[in-house]
Amino acid sequence: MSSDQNFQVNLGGVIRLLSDHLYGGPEVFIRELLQNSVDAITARRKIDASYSGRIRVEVITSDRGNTVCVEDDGIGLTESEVHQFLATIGESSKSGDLSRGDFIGQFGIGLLSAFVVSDEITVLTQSARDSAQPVQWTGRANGTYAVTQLSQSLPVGTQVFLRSRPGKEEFFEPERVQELLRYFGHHLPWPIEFHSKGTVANITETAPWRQAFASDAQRRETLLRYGRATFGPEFLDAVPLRSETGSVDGVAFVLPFTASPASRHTHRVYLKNMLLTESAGSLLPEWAFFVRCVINADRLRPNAARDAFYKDDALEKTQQEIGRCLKDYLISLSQFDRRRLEQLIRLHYLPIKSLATEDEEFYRLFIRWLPFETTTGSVTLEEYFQSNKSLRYVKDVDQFRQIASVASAQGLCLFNGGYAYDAELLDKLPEEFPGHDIRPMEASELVQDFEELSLEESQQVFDLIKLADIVLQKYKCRVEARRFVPAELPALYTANNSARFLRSVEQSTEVADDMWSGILNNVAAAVGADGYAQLVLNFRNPLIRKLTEIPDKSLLKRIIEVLYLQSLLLGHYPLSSEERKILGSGLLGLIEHFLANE
Amino acid sequence: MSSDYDSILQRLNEVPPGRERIAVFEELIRMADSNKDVPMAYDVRRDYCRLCCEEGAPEKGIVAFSWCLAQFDKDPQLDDEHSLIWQYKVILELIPIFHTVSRDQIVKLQEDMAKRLEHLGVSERTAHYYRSWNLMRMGDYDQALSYQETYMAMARDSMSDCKACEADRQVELLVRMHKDEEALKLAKPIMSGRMRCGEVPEFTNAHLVKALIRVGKEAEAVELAKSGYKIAHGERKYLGTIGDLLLVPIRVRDFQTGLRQITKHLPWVVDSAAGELKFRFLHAASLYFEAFAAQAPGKTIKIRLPESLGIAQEGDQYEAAALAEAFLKQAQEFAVLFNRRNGNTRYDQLIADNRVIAGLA
Ligand SMILES: Nc1ncnc2c1ncn2[C@@H]1O[C@H](COP(=O)(O)OP(=O)(O)OP(=O)(O)O)[C@@H](O)[C@H]1O
Ligand SMILES: [Mg+2]
Repeated sequence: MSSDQNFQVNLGGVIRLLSDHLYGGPEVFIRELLQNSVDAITARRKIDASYSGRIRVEVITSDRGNTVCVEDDGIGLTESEVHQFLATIGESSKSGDLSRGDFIGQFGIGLLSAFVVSDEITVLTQSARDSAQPVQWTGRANGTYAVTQLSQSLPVGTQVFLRSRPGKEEFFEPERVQELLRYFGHHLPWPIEFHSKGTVANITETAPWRQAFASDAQRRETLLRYGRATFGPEFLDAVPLRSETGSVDGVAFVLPFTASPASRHTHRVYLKNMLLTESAGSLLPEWAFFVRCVINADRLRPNAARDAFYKDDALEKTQQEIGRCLKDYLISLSQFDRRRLEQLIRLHYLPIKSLATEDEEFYRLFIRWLPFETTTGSVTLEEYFQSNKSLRYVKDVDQFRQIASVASAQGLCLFNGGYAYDAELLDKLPEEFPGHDIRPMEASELVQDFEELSLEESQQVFDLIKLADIVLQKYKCRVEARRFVPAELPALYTANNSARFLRSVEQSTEVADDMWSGILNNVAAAVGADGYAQLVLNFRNPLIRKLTEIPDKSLLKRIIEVLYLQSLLLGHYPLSSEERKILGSGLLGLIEHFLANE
Repeated sequence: MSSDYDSILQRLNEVPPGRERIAVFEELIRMADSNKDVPMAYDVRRDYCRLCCEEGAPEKGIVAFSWCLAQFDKDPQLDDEHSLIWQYKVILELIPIFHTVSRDQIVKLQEDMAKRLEHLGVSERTAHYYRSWNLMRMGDYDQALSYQETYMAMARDSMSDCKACEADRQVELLVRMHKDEEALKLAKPIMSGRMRCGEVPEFTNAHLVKALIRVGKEAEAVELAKSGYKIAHGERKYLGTIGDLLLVPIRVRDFQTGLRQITKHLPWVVDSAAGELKFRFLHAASLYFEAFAAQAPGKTIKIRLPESLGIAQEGDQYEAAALAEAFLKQAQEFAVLFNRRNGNTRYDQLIADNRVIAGLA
């Protein structure tokens, strides 16, 4: 009972699987036939390097249904190879070969795609090997096949005939066949002639990025036109891509608008010059989200559906090579075309910054031209250092906001390190600009540069500050008085990172149980710092000066609390429940006070 | 009101992961809190918590999580219990890397989660998994191993970590226990790339280089340290991992690589609040300078040190031996704190182990 049996394969089922689930659509049979011919030519050139291939495709029209014939002068097949490779699904002459990387095909299933459009495949072939006989193979969609030796002689190569199956006639219309040939094969390295109804057309053309041009300007113009035809937009620039090893070439188009790192642009990819896909993702290094590319890659491995590639070392190499080309391009702009570089940086500073964080050489070259946000607008370091020797930056957006208006009112230029990549780039500055005084700072430090009060003035505010310190102690806020602009601002609240973190800890402990409260406090201890925020009263502000004259302590307390509340609200800080009470007792208390005094 | 949210939410789409993204989230949280919009505040904090854990700001993640957990306990409609507890796992894993959290607190937390798991109706496997993990982090290797054996004998369920993560934990314990051959055997599918996830092999490589060196496969360790650094160098949560990997260039006296990595990642040490990660990097840095000083006695080294580390000097020129000492002192402070917290002297062993790996024994 247990004798070994062979699996039976239901060819119809396999074909349905291929056509419905693996391949994009019936039209891919053209791609698969072209691919086989190209591989056959490649194989023949391995035994005769001087030989140059040729592919001929013909549509023979007839009332009983059109026939497509694809003919090549490649390596051909011997009779035993016909049995082994054509007639065995999953067998490929290319898989065992050491140089399998030279072929496009590898799975041994591509030919089956012909059964999606045709009930019968006929192959006439003459092997290039000495003393081989010409052979005819006929395979049928029902899973049977026949092999016959031919008596007439054939030129070396292979002819594949397909007759349209009912319902698939459209794929055998000469126009459609020609269109498909062009779509998949327009950059293949061998001439493809298309014959039908007595006319002949050439399918292939040299890829635009491989053409020779009289001048750089002409090349740029041609490539930009090609970019528009391919992707639509009027690109900013076209960058020829060519890897050191020659395994990648093509062209990258610089987007004419700012792209976000999350937007994933797609690219057109050729594999060994055959169109693989028009919508490839993950082809570029992560930072390079400012271009769309058309590339040909010789080393990538396609998946079985041949519409994408494997994520393997070859893909990583390709990404690196493209990245290298783009980097070289930017560097050459920096040397020869500063105007265009500036234009490009205006739109694409984000990817350039991203690269600069990764690549030290690039950082060194570009850092001075990259824009940063400051309290006095956007500047490049080159501009900034023309008239400054020191630079201060805050490391997060929040702190920047706290002080931006005050700093700019005083004409102080502080850098915002809170946006993506910026802090990291700014951190490295001291190395690049030795002799300059470059430091990160906390928002609260800014206060130290505010104008000090005179001795007399500080005596005048002494009681007010002391009282305010006591009142705001429970909110972990310290009070100081200085003079600063704008004078309309009575008080400035600043909280550095750890102070803000502690605010969030307090918010959580307010709702958490004992176990969690304990843990939160201990985690907060690891962050360190006392976490005090600071409120700076502005002595230039008339209201503040008036406060120093109010003798009524309980009234003063309420006013201080309300001032504190107001500066919190100005900074969009959510209020703790303790602070919310100010709204009740403080504000209402003030109203009561004034009503009582009316 | 909702249009305020819209513009910030829109910004979230544009900002790449990192500190800026965290800041945008904090703005959203503030807005939701000011509006007293608890469901919104909950959702935002939950995503923020995940982001912070990913971005190497676990202290922020912990704070946000505790808020969510408390709100959920008040109003279970706020979230799906399953996904909340999944996040609890992440948080529980991060808690012991803070030297300030006590042993008692860790155990209580772990048992709180065990209760919640039980309530959810899953087996005790995940609870054992975390008992094992916490015991390992607190240096009780034998007990950790016995919990590991217990959970491994139970059937995985919907609360189990992925297989790659589990294998990573197992490998770490074995390496800590010097069962290097066993660890390498267990890690085979990870090393071949067949078993992987978002954080494996990133985390695992740090343990594997140690095992490789101890079994004499130095060349392999060098390769792994290189490829391991390549995939980990961009993320702050791998600070400790990067420190461990650094031991390998130190061992082979690749001073250039070491210097580049130390310069790049010291600012992260300053920013980090997690003692364990800081310790791992600071100690590796101290060994680097020690090795440097031994190679070229008396030679100075130029390096940019973050000011807040408290070591930096005008001119950026240092005696390597002095730096070695300064870094060792900081690392040792953490070792003392962890030993005290854990109630054992495992950190002394880690220090001794690192010296061997770095070729300084
Ligand atoms: N035009 C041809 N000239 C010579 N041999 C051919 C030709 N077409 C097909 N063959 C042979 O038939 C085999 C099967 O072809 P098929 O397209 O199914 O698979 P493949 O090209 O090897 O791999 P893939 O499934 O990736 O296309 C090939 O390996 C090759 O040996
Ligand atoms: Mg094929």
